[in-house]
Amino acid sequence: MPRLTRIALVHGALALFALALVVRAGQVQLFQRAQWAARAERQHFASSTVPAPRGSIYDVRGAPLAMSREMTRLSVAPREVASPKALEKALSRLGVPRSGVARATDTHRAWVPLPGSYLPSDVQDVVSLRGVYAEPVEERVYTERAATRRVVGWVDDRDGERRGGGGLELALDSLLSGIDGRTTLARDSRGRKLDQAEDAEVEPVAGASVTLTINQELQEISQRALAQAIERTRADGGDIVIIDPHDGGIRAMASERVGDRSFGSPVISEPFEPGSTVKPLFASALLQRNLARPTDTVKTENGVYTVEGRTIRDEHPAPELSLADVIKYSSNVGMVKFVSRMSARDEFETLRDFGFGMPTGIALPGEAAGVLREPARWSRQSAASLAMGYEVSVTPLQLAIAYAAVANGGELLQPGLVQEIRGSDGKVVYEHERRVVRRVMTPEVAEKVRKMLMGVVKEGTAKSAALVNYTLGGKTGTARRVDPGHGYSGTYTASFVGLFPAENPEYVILVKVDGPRETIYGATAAAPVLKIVLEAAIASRDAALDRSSLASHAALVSMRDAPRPEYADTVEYAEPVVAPARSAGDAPPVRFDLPVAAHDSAGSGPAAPRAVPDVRGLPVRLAVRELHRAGFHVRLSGLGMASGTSPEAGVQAAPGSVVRLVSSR
Amino acid sequence: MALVLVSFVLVAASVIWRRTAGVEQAAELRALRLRRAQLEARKAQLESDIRRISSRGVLLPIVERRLDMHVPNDTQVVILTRAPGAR
Repeated sequence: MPRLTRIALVHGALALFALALVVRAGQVQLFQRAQWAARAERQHFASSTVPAPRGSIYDVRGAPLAMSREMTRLSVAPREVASPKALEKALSRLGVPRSGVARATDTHRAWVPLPGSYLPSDVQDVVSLRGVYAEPVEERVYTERAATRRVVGWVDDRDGERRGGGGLELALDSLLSGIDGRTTLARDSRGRKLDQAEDAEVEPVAGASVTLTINQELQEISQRALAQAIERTRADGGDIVIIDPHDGGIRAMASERVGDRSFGSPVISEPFEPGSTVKPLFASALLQRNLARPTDTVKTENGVYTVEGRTIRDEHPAPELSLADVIKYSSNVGMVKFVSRMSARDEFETLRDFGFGMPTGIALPGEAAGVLREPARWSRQSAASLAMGYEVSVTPLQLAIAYAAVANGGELLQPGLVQEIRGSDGKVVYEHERRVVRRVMTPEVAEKVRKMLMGVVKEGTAKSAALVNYTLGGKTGTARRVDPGHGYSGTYTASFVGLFPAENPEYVILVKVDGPRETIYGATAAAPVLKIVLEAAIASRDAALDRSSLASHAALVSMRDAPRPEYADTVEYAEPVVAPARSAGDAPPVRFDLPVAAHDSAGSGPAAPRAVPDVRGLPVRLAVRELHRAGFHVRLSGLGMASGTSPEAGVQAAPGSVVRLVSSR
Repeated sequence: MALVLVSFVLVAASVIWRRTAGVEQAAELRALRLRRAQLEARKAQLESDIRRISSRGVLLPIVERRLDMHVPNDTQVVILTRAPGAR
């Protein structure tokens, strides 16, 4: 072949190759552009979900009950680990169980996820080791879990997605969980995701924050009092509900079941036969329908009465009792006779109007309606049974909200558990408002019933709940419990519902003790629990009590008449003191009793003057203590170290007089 | 031609430098975000611990046992109210 021909051939081949390249480039660029661009996008970038932070749950004062925080979950690729010894040490320091450490260094395994999650600051050393991989996870943190777990609920991890599993976490899941965002990350040549400075393409929307009507302080007080009562009475369990009767807000909702670790909320899901606690509700219906007055009497047959073949007995037998006394002494005979003035329909409607037999509509899953049968399905004994609180079952919440109507002047309210919901932008999306379901009695009737309830605590079956300085109204209940499938068993439900303070109640408190063994009565098993709760609430600054209103209701009772505490020998009591109003327009006088240190308790006359102690050089706290111990009142002047007193140290002064403590700054 | 090549190399180098700096800054930003998350998690942990330790459930048994304190009954609590206009 001539040389020229060969060159032409090579040139032609090169030209063809160039042409082929151009054609292919044209094909890729012009006709397959979208396909290749998508492929490049997949190789260079990865889409990633940006999880939305779950909203927090707060109590009514803003104390957090449930919050989310970022934790770290660790996984180990044992075959990539360069220094197994260093890894073992680091994992042990972190608190990983020995079995977990052994698995993490077992080279027969390719990938070992370690159990649990850790604070990011705690795992800094471990994640710097080769072969250890960290993954951020959101963890839900609950405050005071024992007290609030049944209300707040919990969060489940379903296929990597965290969803409410029970309680409010479930009921409000769609609001709490927020909306996940999305971002696109660049990948390097090995497919690893590169960091990106830009914000997410679609920003996540954080979950709403929820403020409850629950008062954490009151919740803890209730939970503790309940646990002590269950231990004291050897009961199977119990419940406490505290409601603000003016807006229907639930302030506390405590439940305890022996040996039960479930998270359900029996206050709304476990109905019980209320026993005598329904009697005031029937009394209100009798008054409302003008079928009786508080002073009207019936023959109570010395506590034994047979109706429709059934014998009814009273714990406090009497020949005759007024309606007020029937409530006061919880007479079954008297109440059956009074209620017989009502028709079966009226009796049914009374309980139905108080909300029995239907759910209250509270924002918690699993609420029970209770049982209230239509009169057409009653037996001959049903009318009498209902009058005594049998053949009807109610949840503790239903009973408490019925009593709230007595407390607030006759309006049945819808109970509320959620005070406020705020979106992530801070805007209020829901706010609890007082919602009246219906009026069940006039304010005059409500006041008469409240007076009857005050009589129960003052002279009747609930004297054990009485406070010295404050009025309390309430009603005890003791009802046989039903054993499913076997009828009435030998165990009882002891209950007490109280209104505090009785004149203008701030709390309606229901205490229920299931199956108490040491004592079965509401008066002895449940009423003292309410007193414990109230005493702790009065002593607490954060228990949702209007203290100025409470002060105006405080009775002027001499401390000498009050029950003496165990350490009474160290204290003597002054007579009640009334601070005089400074002018006609001033607030009502503050009434209080002053306990005074009893240094001269042996003497009957006025205490002798004594020397002011020398407190110079002492820290103020110690100096105040010393002066109090010596029986003086102290007025502070400055902080820091005590530099002197007025009167001076050593000067004789009357006990109880004011000593001014001068400090260095 | 050489000028075109040099320009191309310079432009390419500046693009690569810009991207590298961007990735470095993003890594730094991510580290700071991580640090913030760590500190927030730590803060939440400490706040949770404080709340738990200062709760009635923990504190009450301790003060009852060690300091011989008790919940006062209602007669031992004095509520003082402020008159209107009082400072």
